Amino acid sequence: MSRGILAFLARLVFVSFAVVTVVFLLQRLLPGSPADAVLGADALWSDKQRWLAAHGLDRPLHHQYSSYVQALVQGDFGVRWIDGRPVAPLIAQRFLETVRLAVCALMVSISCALFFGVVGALRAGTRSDRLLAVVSLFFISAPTFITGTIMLWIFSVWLDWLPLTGSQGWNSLILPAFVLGITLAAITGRMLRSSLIETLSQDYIRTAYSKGVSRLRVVGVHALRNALLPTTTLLGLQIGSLLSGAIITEQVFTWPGLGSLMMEAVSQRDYNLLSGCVVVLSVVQVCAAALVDVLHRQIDPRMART
Amino acid sequence: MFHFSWLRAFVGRLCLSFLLAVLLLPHFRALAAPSIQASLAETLRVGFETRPRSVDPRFVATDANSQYLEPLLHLPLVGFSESGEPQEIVAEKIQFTDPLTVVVKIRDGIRFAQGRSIDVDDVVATYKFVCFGALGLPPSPRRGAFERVKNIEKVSPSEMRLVLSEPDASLISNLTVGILPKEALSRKPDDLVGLGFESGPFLLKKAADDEWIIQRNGKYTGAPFGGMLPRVENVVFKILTDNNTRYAALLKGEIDLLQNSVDSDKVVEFQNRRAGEFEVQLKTSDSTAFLAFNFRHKLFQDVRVRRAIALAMNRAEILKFTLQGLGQEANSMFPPGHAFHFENKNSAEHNLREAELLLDLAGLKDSDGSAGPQPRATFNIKVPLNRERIAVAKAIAGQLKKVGLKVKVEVLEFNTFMKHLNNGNVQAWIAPWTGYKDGDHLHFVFHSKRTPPSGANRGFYSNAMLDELLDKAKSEASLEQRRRLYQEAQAIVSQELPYIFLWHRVGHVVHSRRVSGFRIFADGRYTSLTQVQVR
Amino acid sequence: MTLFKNMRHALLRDTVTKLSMLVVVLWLCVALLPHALPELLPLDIDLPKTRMAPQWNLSEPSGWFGYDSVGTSVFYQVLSGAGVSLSVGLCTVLLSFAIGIPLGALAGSGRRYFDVLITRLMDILLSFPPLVLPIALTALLGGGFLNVVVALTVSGWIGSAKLVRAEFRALDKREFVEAARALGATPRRVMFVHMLPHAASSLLVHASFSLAGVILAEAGLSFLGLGLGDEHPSWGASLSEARAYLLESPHLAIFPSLALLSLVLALNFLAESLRASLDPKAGSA
Repeated sequence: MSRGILAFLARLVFVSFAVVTVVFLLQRLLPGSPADAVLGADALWSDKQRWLAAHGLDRPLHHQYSSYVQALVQGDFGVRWIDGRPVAPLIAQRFLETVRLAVCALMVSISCALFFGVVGALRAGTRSDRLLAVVSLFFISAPTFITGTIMLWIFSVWLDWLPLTGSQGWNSLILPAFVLGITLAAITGRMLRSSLIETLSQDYIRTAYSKGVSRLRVVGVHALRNALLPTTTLLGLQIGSLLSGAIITEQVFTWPGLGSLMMEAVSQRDYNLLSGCVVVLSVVQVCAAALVDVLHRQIDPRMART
Repeated sequence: MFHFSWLRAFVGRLCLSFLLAVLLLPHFRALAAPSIQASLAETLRVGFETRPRSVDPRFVATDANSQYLEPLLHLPLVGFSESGEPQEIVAEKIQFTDPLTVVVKIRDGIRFAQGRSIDVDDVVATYKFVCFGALGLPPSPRRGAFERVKNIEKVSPSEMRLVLSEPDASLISNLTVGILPKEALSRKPDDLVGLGFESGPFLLKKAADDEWIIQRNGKYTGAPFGGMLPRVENVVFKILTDNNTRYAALLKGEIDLLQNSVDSDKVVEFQNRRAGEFEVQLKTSDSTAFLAFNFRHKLFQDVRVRRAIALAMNRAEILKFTLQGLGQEANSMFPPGHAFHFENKNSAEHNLREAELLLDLAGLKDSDGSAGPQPRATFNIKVPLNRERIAVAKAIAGQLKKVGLKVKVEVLEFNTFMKHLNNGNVQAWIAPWTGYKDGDHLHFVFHSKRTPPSGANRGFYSNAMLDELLDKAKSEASLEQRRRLYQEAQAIVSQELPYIFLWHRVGHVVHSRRVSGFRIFADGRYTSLTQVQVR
Repeated sequence: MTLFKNMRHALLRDTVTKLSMLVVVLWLCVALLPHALPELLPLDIDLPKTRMAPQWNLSEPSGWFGYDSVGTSVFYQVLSGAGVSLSVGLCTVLLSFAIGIPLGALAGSGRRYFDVLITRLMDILLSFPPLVLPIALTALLGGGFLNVVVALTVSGWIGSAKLVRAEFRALDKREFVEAARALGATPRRVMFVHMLPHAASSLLVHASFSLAGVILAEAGLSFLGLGLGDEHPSWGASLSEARAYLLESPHLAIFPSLALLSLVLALNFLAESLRASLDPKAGSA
């Protein structure tokens, strides 16, 4: 087990380092001097030069890189350029919001996926299966910014059930979490359905039925457990989709999370902020994938032994 | 072989941890940022399109929202009257003793919220910071306005002196830096919250990414120069970046007031269909949209082509359909009512026949008639990614097609757009100027020495006569003389058409009927927040 | 040859699949329209028609779907948007395959050095959440057709590379490959003539899914303001503009959404049934 952890840590370090390097290189090549974005394009040239010098952006690229990495290792993401506030606590605060959204979306996703998958598999070929297929393919195919906006108008403005803005109460979470989760649910649900169908045709299921085990127990215990295996792998891959889906969902619902912080950084050409966001998002993705791997082993006893 | 228990335990554990996480997270958040408890009637909620970058007077940059909030918190030496003329606030009197020296007398009895009076030392220290910077702190983005200031010194307990290297008549309109107590100047950027450094009618209470809160300054002493004692206890600025959400939030009553941040067609909708719940105020604003040409592009070096384009455009039509009438046709830089407004008698009225004639004269013949597919000439207009500006550019392209000019609209992300502009990598573009105060703005935009990176003459326009007039006006002290010089300069601009002025935007405020007392100003300021009452 | 037989069987199996096939072919034809006959799609700007509602007047097709915010016909806009959206999608998928297949083949060819190198590269790219790298890249390169295609390709090639690599590793010890080697076929010939056709069916499924994905991703980028920035909008760009008029002029959103939905849905249906019949492991649908 400890060897596994070590390997994971090594991988994490390697990947984070590579991500930091890629992000660093990308950003130094962004068009538009950051001084333009911070001081305004109409500011004096001499001021822009002074500003660049003050932030060490006039030095050769490899100097900038080494000092950036050194600071990063010490947990210092630098300061947000427009107001000089340190980036790390900003990201931490926004990250918490994104986690809150993502966790709820995951809950929506898992419960809807179970519903889509189990009902679809048990009623395979019937009208309700086809209806579910169409519904889930609709959610896979529709851009979230449109479904999100439509739901926002229906539930927040027209019916006035849910608050429109802000992230204070639990009820402001419902809409964004649903919009974010349902797309994933549709994909996972399709996957679960086909693997459940496959499992249900296996011999041991027939054996279980012939022994007189109830249908609920057969499906809920015997079949689902095996069908969940490929699905959890998919879920691991989808943590990434969850995070990037959050970028768009947060824009639609003005959710103050990491995604909207990142878009802010893009529009303000704030290297420090953007790097911070991308690095954190990527590290989360790597960790989440590892976590799902662990989960996978939990469910599948064969994997645990290997 | 299989047991029910593992699934139950697994799902149970999963659900429990999710539940815990979801339930606990808001509490962590609540601990991190205590929100202000106030009854609704004492709070006005205003929607902002973007977060103010910084209201620290040392570091207030070019973004409008910061500039609107700053004078509500930190009183400056001068503010502006409604027509845009400088008006003394902390300064009692400002005088040019000679073209290179300005003497400022400080008003007595205006206090910071911490209790101490504003004295000359505070003013000198603040301006010294802005002009010359301080060790260990970033330079002030405002320095550009004080390029010609050579020295700042205290001359008596109530007077200071600014010494210039060259005459600069626009200096007085730049003395808008909010005054900070001298002990505040060594603090880190934006590290001024809750310390009583404010001297304005409001105190900054919270500056987060999703909302800003300002609170009534109970010890306000600046009245009547910098506004009255506010009637509301708190003003909350909610940062709502999405157009759609802002509009919906106002409809739903989650915010009470929006200024210049709903689309024109929504304003009309509020005016016509929701007049019972919402009040709309309109006023022509200090904002001028224009189509500009790059003089390095051969096509635009011929004034006949520029004039033909102006004639071929139908601005009234665009105003009516694209801006829903929320604009006033512009024929010069400054809107009517502005101190430097120029009445352009030479303005181009929509006339397709004359436009075609001019294009023929310029050697751009239309071989197959205006309906044929062969264009006379082709060029592109670059616009930043902004729905309205794209629509305007497309509309212009549609109109120019009628005289045989083929226009391609190229949409760029904002930073890329600015980069293309400053590199001269552009043929024609559409943009507005906003927030100008002084006639000196023309120097910044049209003087041949102010090409990027040292100015905003991004079309590389050059006219020796205009340069001379603008230089003269910059060094002239008398307001009368300056007005005359800028009139002459603008007459040249109106002949030469380096810009085709499109319109002055009509600014708008939409607020719910619960709110009374808010007044709209041409420059979009929020000073009337002090008068607002919420039912 | 069996592949094509299987494919024909798969594509003509049931009504939904046939219908999806029809939709995709139809949109492909529409996408080619502006290149063949540009005068058929008059994208004129006519301000007095700004946001006019649809009028079902048979003789005037430009008014069928109403007019957009500069008075251009939404009907023609949707038709020309098909070309834009599909060409972004097809170019990205083709470019991804052009990069992904050789790299995947190299990684699966049994040479450890290449395998480790390429797998590490994929690991790095996969650790960015899907849309994050394209966002950063389009912000870096600016919008525009080529840049969006490049940005979406950078993480898009991984799917096909992984597929090919897995397939090749599985095939490596099969008899027919050994036989080909024994008969003196060069490694390159073995890879591309003998092994690649076996990956073709799963690549086809992958192409169909990823075409749908790319079209959606482009719509997302357009919504974030990082799209093509072209004068003639893709469906995604039309939609992100229509969002502002959802209440007053829903026709601006409805028709491009229907178009986008129909194509993406059809591609997804197609991919699912292709997978079901070409790949017996995936279970019956």
